[in-house]
Amino acid sequence: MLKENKHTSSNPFRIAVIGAGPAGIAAAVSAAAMGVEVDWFDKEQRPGGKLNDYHQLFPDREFADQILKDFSGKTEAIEIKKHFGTIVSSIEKVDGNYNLLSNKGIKGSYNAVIIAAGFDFFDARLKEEYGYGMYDHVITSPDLEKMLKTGQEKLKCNGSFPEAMAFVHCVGSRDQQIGINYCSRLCCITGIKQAIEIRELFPSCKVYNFYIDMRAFGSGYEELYRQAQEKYNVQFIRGRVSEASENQQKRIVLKAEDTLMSRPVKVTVDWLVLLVGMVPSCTMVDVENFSCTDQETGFYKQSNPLSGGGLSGQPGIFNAGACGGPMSIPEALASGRSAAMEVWQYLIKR
Amino acid sequence: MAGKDFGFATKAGRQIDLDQLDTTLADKIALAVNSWRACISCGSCTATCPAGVKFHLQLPTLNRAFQLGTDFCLELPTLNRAFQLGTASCLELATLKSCLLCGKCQLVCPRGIPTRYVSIQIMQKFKSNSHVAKGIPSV
Amino acid sequence: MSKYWKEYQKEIAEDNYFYVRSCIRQNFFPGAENLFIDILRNKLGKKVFEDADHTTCTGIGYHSDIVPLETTMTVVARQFALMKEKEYKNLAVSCVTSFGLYSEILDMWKHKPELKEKIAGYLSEATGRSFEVPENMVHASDILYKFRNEIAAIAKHKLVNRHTGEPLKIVDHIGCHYAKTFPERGVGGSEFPQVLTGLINAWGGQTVDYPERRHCCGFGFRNYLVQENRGYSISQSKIKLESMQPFEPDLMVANCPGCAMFLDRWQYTLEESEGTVYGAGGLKIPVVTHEELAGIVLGYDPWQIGLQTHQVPVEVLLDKIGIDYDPELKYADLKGNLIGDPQMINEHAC
Ligand SMILES: Cc1cc2nc3c(=O)[nH]c(=O)nc-3n(C[C@H](O)[C@H](O)[C@H](O)COP(=O)(O)OP(=O)(O)OC[C@H]3O[C@@H](n4cnc5c(N)ncnc54)[C@H](O)[C@@H]3O)c2cc1C
Ligand code: SF4
Ligand code: SF4
Ligand code: SF4
Ligand code: SF4
Repeated sequence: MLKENKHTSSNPFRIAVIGAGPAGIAAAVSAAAMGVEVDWFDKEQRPGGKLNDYHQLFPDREFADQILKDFSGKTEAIEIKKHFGTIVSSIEKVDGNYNLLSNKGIKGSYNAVIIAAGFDFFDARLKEEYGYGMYDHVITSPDLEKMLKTGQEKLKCNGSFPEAMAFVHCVGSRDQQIGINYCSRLCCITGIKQAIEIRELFPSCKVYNFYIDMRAFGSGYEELYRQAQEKYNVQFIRGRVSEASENQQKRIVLKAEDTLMSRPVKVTVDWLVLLVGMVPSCTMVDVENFSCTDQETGFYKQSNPLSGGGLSGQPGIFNAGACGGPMSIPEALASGRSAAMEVWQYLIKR
Repeated sequence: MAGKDFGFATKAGRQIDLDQLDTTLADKIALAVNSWRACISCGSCTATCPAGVKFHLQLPTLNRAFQLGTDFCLELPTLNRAFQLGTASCLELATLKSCLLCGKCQLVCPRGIPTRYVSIQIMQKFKSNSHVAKGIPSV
Repeated sequence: MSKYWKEYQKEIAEDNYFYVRSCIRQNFFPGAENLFIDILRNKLGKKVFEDADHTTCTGIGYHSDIVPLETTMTVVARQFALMKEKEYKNLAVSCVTSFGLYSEILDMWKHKPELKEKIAGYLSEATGRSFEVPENMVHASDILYKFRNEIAAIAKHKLVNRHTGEPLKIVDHIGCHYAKTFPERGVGGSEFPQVLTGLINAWGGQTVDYPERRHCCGFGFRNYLVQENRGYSISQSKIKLESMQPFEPDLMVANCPGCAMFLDRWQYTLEESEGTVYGAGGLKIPVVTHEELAGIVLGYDPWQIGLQTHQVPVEVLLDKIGIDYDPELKYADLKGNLIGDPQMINEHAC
């Protein structure tokens, strides 16, 4: 297939996009489509970001691999210079342009940079009371995604399918104990989706979701929640699990309160799934002489919470996707496209 | 064996043990009105229910008890067991008899649950267990 | 920011301890504290000072709403003053209640220096003394933890069943006030505390992580002072006992005087009132303190260190380990004169 290439010497704009997750893909493809020369960086060897490890996606349960295929169709159809396996550590300003410092040396000089470095999963070991890393049958939602992707056999316990499973919402979110006050927005719907998948795979397995508030904000999310209740008989219990321990059979015993019943509850499950929140990436890119992250949350800040989406406040530096805070795939894609648009505005006005 | 009296004794637990739960009754009712499971305990029904304002009728609490399968008022392990034993004097259940079948609950329910029909279903289930029927009106 | 459980390590002074006894431990298990001092001085060669002017910390009175906070603080300030007068900087606390109380007071003073000033004024007015806060403050079990390997090196016995060659299955119980209020002040934090499991593992035993491991023993101060309230207390111990029963532990170790007392005595009470015992083979489960456990492995004479003051007979344990003891001398005084077995009293005294 002939690659579309609008880049000519008469169009001298050159930018860098850091990150090849959904946001970076949208930003790189959109900017290239506008005729900008794009250098594209990711620390991994392939694009797709977190989606590479997901099984099915909410709200429609589309396979992540399918979406990734659609993405690569788009990125292959246009010329973008890929620098994969490159961990960008910081950005410095030289003569009004930007250089990127990475494990592979210095690259420059770019008229603008879009940071789309994504997020990390909350490290569940920090919530000691759930025993992640201590008990074999305590896993996180991304762990479960991988298990679902690579085969349900992995979910067998002592040779048979699980009889009961529990999901704990808000692990690493909305929690003063670990200094994280924000809501990660997508863990509720992840829990709903994964609960449904488990009920489909193992119809005799009881599934409990322990939540503080149910936040199903996106399009199609509330409908999925209702389906989980009505069609799949997932038990949503309002109350936060505050202790997990292991019994002799290596099953996990949970303690919570059903706050709607005003009663403590106890349940033994084969698997405990922690719906971990989204935290700033540990490979956040520093921008020289500029504090580009929000003091409270650690995510990249926007120049204005209402109108400054994608604008870092530093001319020429833009951000897109979940590196600016918890975001869904459609939101990350939209934010990548809009960052490309902002970059274009910036470049032509320069 | 009659134990020694020390002037104090261990207390019965309040913890609902979900391992023991038996949701047969909830499943039976869900067969008739599946949307009942979609209750989100918003309380709209209780707020304007004549029996809720004057008596103890709280549909969401009753719903939770059924979903979990516990007769927590009787400290019995499961509601189903209470049903079999004919001890359906659970506060929440007994309060159903104060339902006037006015239909206001159904009118206000954001989940569109035919709550009035749920009431009838529960009462009928209990009525069919004849020795439990005491105190529950026929409909 | 919170830490991983493994990173909950604390500084434990090497030597030169100002040792403060526990008012209740001296009554419950009178041999334990002398044993601790003997181990430190004569087995480990440490300098330990005891002040005859030291008093109760009033912790139990304080926790039962009998002693007002400022009075308690003044009493604690007086202990610190004694330590200053004897030129010691490292406080070693025998009791978990005291340890928790001291930690809480130090924390309050840190946040409210004016409160500390006020208490200094009270102390000076009442006694003419002045105080300094300890440079290092640890619980007695922390010190044994620090020297666990040194103790293992000179131990005469291992925590191994000599008949089967298997390590003894040992349940640890950590007093709530050791680390629940200030996890950073406890070795291993509060969810996966290591302070006693460290001893058990170093001395050849096997630890048991049972579901209610973290549950309170029920001591609870006001919950046992009045007879009518004791049902609350014993109910909590019962939860623990029921939960550990399937693991068939050989022994329980507790680092708090109250916990050791109740896990021991309530087993007797439950046997008498409900006809239930929780150990294997229709026996109750022996309970010892951290000092007594050290004394056992170091080969002290069980009756010299006061193991006969436990309600649950310890002989089963001694036999399993293979410790020589003279059954005749169980109830003898220090000179070896028999003082008669304890008699059952029909009316409970208080
Ligand atoms: C358990 C879970 C399940 C989810 N499932 C769904 C779902 O079903 N549907 C949905 O809409 N959303 C879902 N989400 C949200 C989804 O993961 C995010 O919306 C999406 O990943 C955000 O895309 P992104 O490109 O901003 O970040 P990422 O996907 O995190 O991509 C960031 C990329 O940047 C790279 N990078 C990071 N730092 C550097 C650096 N310094 N140098 C170079 N490269 C770097 C990374 O390698 C990565 O490839 C889920 C989230 C969670 C937690
Ligand atoms: S989305 Fe749900 S689970 Fe996630 S932090 Fe928000 S309320 Fe908690
Ligand atoms: S139908 Fe019954 S439950 Fe519903 S509002 Fe009327 S009285 Fe209340
Ligand atoms: S109004 Fe409907 S959803 Fe709300 S509590 Fe009542 S039954 Fe449940
Ligand atoms: S008993 Fe409950 S309220 Fe009291 S300290 Fe313990 S956990 Fe807190």
